[in-house]
Amino acid sequence: MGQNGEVLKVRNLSTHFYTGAGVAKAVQKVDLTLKRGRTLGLVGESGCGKSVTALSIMRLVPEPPGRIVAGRVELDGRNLLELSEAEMRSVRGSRIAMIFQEPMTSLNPVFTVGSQIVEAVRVHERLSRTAARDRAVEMLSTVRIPNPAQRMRSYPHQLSGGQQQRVMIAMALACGPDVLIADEPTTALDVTIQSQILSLLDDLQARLSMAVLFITHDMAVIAQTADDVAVMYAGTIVERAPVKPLFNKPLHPYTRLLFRSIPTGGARGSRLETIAGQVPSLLALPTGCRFHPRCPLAFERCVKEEPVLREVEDGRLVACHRAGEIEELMK
Amino acid sequence: MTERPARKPRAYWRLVLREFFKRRLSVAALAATLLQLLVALLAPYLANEVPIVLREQGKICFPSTFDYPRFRTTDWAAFVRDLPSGDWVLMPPLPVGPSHTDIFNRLDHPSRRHLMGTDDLGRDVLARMIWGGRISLSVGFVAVGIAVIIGIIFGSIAGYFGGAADLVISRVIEVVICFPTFFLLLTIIALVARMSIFYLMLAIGIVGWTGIARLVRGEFLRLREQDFVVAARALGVPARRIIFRHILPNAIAPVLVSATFGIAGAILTESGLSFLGFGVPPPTASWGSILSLARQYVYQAWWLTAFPGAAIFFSILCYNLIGEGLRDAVDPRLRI
Repeated sequence: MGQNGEVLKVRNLSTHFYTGAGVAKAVQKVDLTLKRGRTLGLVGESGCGKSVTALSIMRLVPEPPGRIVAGRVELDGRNLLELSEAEMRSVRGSRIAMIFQEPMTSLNPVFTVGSQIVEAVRVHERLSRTAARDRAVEMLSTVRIPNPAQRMRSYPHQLSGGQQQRVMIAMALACGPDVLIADEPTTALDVTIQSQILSLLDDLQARLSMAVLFITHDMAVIAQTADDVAVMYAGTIVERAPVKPLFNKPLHPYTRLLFRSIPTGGARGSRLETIAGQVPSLLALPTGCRFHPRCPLAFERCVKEEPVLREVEDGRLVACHRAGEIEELMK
Repeated sequence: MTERPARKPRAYWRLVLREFFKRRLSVAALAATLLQLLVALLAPYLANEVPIVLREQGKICFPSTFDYPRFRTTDWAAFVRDLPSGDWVLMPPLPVGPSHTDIFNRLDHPSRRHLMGTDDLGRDVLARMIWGGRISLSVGFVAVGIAVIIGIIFGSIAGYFGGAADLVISRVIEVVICFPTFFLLLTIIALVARMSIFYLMLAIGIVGWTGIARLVRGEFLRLREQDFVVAARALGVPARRIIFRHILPNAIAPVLVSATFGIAGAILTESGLSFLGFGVPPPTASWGSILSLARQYVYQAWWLTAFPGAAIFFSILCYNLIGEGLRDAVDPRLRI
């Protein structure tokens, strides 16, 4: 394990998709650090590269058309991008596990949930069938599914969405991974179930001292679960900070506008704030800063020069030429 | 947490069967096919000059089931005629075999004794039909079995891995599709010195896998992008296991439908070859070979044409009806 609990380090990761219409730079020079027992929230709009980042870490980007063109993904100092497919397979599921947005479609419809958890265990550990079964039942009770022994025999379609997501979590954690990537795990669930799943994940993380990469577009979820936050825009990280300071005082104009556009309960009848313009196409990104066409603070330099992520305040990284002046400029 | 009441596990196939059983015509076809399978399976006990059970000098024997050295040269007609008192025999309902000739009853009309008449050597047509069904059905099943295995292997590799593997396999499929099946079969028959029914099955299977491979490839292309496949990969499940355990069971339904139609096709091909005289070697009966013989006697002996022709027609019809019923049952778009 690296210094101060760093388990997974992503450095300079770039993933491009080579499509008929051109090269889509879905992920560009992304840096992330996951620490044991801590949750990093990755936020951004749809299509900003959150999921591709996660798939790149797992090396599950569909190839072709996708390709990881540059960067390093270090798990305890070992670069995953240099491993053979067989070595990578032994990492997936046992060291890094992943849960997905749609529990309904992420479980194989033709097998019982029990057999799927048993498989998840037996792929990585030499356990007898009965031992693996016992582990599966134990995992189901860990994720608080009632009557775990009976539920083992259920098919996915017999479970509710929340229970399916619990089963997915049980599968992901069956081999005790060090890193859990949760790709919008609560987006497909309704709000009450969502908070149950979130508190379950919190509990399990504390108990297993995992590092969690939590991907979402929901600011409220981030506020509830994350310790640190990385804000993504059009394939790059624009701001990285601990959760409290970020919510108190966002330093990137995009983050600031994003917070403003969250609907609040008060002021009935007032207009909902939006960010002018549209997310740029990944095939034709603007020059310089990717946010400049929509940014109220943009000036000449933003068009010409791409800002890099730099530390503006203690522990706060921002990729913006005007990060220092934002307080005066945006009121 | 919203808790649903526990239900009995109701698997996918149970739903499919329920849908299938709603279609009366298909169910009737399935029943007819099962009956036909049963007849083919029980041919030695239905049409045979060898008794099913007999008692000889206090001992019970099953000569049509087991091989008894002392009965190998027995003339059963004489044996039954000269049966000593106290011994008995149980003959099959039709006490003549498919190769039993009776020169004095050539080309006999259907009668009580010969329900479907006799052929030019005085052989009972019904007996030959019963035994011939075995050949036709085994050709159908084995040939399609071979085709399905080859098709699944190539189709799944092409569909799952894509890229170069897909390119190569797809071109091979296109080449094999271009083979004119019937002429290829005739060529193989010409090259093989001693013709046996097995070569026929093998040949039909080897040219017949392309349709299934394409189908499986398409299913795999669709399924490999599914979340549960990505989830299985994220758990570190090896490719071979993903292909055969995770994807194949989800892709097998259309294969089954196609295989059912394939059986019909294989039976027809075998009949066609036998009709041309290139099928099973002579004394063996198959529906096609009976038809082939009938050609010379079309004007004298209608029964030689009508019965095997009807048998081929109805069994093909049945397989097609089953296939259609199955296709409708597995198609989720037709369900609510």
